[in-house]
Amino acid sequence: MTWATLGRGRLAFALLMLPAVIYVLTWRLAPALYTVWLSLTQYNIVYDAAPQLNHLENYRRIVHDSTLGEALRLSVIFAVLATAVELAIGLAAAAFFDSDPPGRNLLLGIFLLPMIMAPVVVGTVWSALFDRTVGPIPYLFELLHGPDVQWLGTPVTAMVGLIFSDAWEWAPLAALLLFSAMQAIPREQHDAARSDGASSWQLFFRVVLPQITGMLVVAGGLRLMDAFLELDKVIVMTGGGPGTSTQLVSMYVYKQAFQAYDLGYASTVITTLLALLAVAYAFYLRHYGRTLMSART
Amino acid sequence: MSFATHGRRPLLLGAVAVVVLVVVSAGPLQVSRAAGMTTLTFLGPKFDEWEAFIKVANALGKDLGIEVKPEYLPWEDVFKKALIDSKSGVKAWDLVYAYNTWVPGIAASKVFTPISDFLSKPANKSLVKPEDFIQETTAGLEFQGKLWAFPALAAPYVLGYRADLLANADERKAFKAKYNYDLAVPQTYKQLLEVAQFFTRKKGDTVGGKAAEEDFYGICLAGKPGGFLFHRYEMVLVAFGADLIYNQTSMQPTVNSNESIAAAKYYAQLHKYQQPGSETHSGGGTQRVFAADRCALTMDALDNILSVAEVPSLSKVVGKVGYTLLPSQVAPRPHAHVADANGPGIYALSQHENEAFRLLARVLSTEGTKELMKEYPALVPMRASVINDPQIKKDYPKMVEAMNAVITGKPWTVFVPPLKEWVQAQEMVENALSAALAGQKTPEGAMIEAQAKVVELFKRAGYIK
Repeated sequence: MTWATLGRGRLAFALLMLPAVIYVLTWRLAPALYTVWLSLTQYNIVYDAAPQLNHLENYRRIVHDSTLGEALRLSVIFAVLATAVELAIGLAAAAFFDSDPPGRNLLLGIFLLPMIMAPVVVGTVWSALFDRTVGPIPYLFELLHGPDVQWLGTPVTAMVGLIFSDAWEWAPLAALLLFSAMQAIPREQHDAARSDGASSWQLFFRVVLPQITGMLVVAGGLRLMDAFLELDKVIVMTGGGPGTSTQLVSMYVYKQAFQAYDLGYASTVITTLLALLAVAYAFYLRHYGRTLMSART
Repeated sequence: MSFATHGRRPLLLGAVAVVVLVVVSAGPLQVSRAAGMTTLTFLGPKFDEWEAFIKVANALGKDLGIEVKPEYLPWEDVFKKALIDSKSGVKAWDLVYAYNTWVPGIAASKVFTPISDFLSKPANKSLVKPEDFIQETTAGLEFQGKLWAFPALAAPYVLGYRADLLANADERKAFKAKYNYDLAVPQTYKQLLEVAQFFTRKKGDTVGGKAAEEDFYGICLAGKPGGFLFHRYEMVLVAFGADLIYNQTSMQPTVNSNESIAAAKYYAQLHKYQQPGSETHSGGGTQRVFAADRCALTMDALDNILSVAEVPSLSKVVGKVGYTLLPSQVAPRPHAHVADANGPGIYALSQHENEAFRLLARVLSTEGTKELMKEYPALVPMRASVINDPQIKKDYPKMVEAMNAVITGKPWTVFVPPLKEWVQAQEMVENALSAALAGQKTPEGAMIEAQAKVVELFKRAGYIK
């Protein structure tokens, strides 16, 4: 049915659509537009009575903001590495659960637990685990005569610590998505491959993997976008440090908005990020569509 | 079963549920109203001292017909919440916790009604007795000639040291042999460094005549980003004769001054003798390590140390810690420190301003403060009458010893400057220092980079060209 063929039903259609349109305009579009407007203003919520238009000054500032550039670089590194680790663990776990081990449902339930924890709790747990004075991980290293790693104390290990904690929390999501995709593959295909003499590796790489590529892309895309905006665990575990070595872009925005109270500039960074993410998302959807099509054929 | 009867039952159940919910939710309100009580709301951090404040406020408020309901948030979120609520016209709060570095922002954004406004009435002034406040501790709550929060908890920075270790004969002998002077409470930052170095030991080494069960560290210092690191560092910074980030007369940033770089280099040296993992430790977390008998020295707010090190259930070092002023570095700034002050303020949109003031006057009076100290023994009072009270001297000797040192020692004291961009500037220096401590940069290189960032910030703000 199209608008042209609706005829007298147009009014009813418009009325039925109205609540949804109002919802989108008020809850989705209006705040976004307000943020865009704020991005064109000088507004320190503590010291300025009201936002004052400063045109593109904030955008000029962004171009020269090396700290933001560094935060973006770190966010990309974190998002890519964390997603890769989560997909790898998720894939392995999904393959394990797909092999129908005894107590599968119980194991799956336990495996999924971190995913339902609040990110702040996850950050607190891992912060305690890595604590050099009382944490069990450094203690384990000591017991095994391993190196004395200052987990959250050096730039590289702090980033690794964040990636570990993110993978612990979100690898179950990847596993769940991939497991559901694996379950959709007809068992006859496994049996046929087996009777043709395929090994487990061949079965996985030639039969299973090609059929879950679409879900891999979905899981990867979801996690990549989410990890790019990681904030809670960074605040709890490293506070962006040491130095600014784990100051991801969300942390930078948070600091601008809620430590410096510079809402104008924070809005500019958010608007720019949204634009960048929209472009990335468009590329992702394009690739995702192609992948799905190739998976179908 | 007809359609009509099938449809009524869930409707009836729903109606009963709604009625029950309304009655349950309205219950406490009715009780308060029936008793003729005024309910005040308090927004503050979930710290022991503020939980004690609520308990005492509710006990002492009964006579005034006032009760207090608290809403606790993480410390760093309290001002944000009050600010955003105030800007949005939310009238939910009556009392809000304040920390001295927030005071310029509180004044600029008019989140609080100044306490001074209430004190302009003679009756209120005689009720509060403001002349009793210890000036060395309250100045941080004042701005533009007004008192913005009710002085409640002083937090002078002091040096906590393991008196038992410093008095140990074997340690003294070994120290003298190594450094060629007597082991004593450090009076200079050079001595502090050497004492910290001397006491840094490995697990199994002898410390104070016993084999250490764990690694032992020279000094415990908080190093978490977000202000904890900078707040400890700024003590050294001012002691070395440096500005707090910029010259307040010329508005020129001085992060790369000789004094500032010397302070950064010193702090990086001292870091070698700190507890590992300090980059994730807040003040409380650091004091847990100190109280676990794992450090010889600590520099922190007095109440932070007292609230852990002197509590038997938390500490292995009760009674073994001495408290004194911070060391000195340059002669014109003896025992330099950047002071802290805490207190509840009256939310400007409060619907019960006068009740809130009356309650504060009661709870933070001499007698009220003594009640507070029973609930929170680490409280460092801001009233001279409390410090000089014979019973307090007897019951809280460590606190009185430290506060007398502050009052009679007259340390060179400064509060953070009322600069709109202070948090950003502080963060730039803190990040630089953190990078230096992590070995990413040299202290000098880090401070030079931070200077460039602060200059850019100040240019953007229009302070310099």
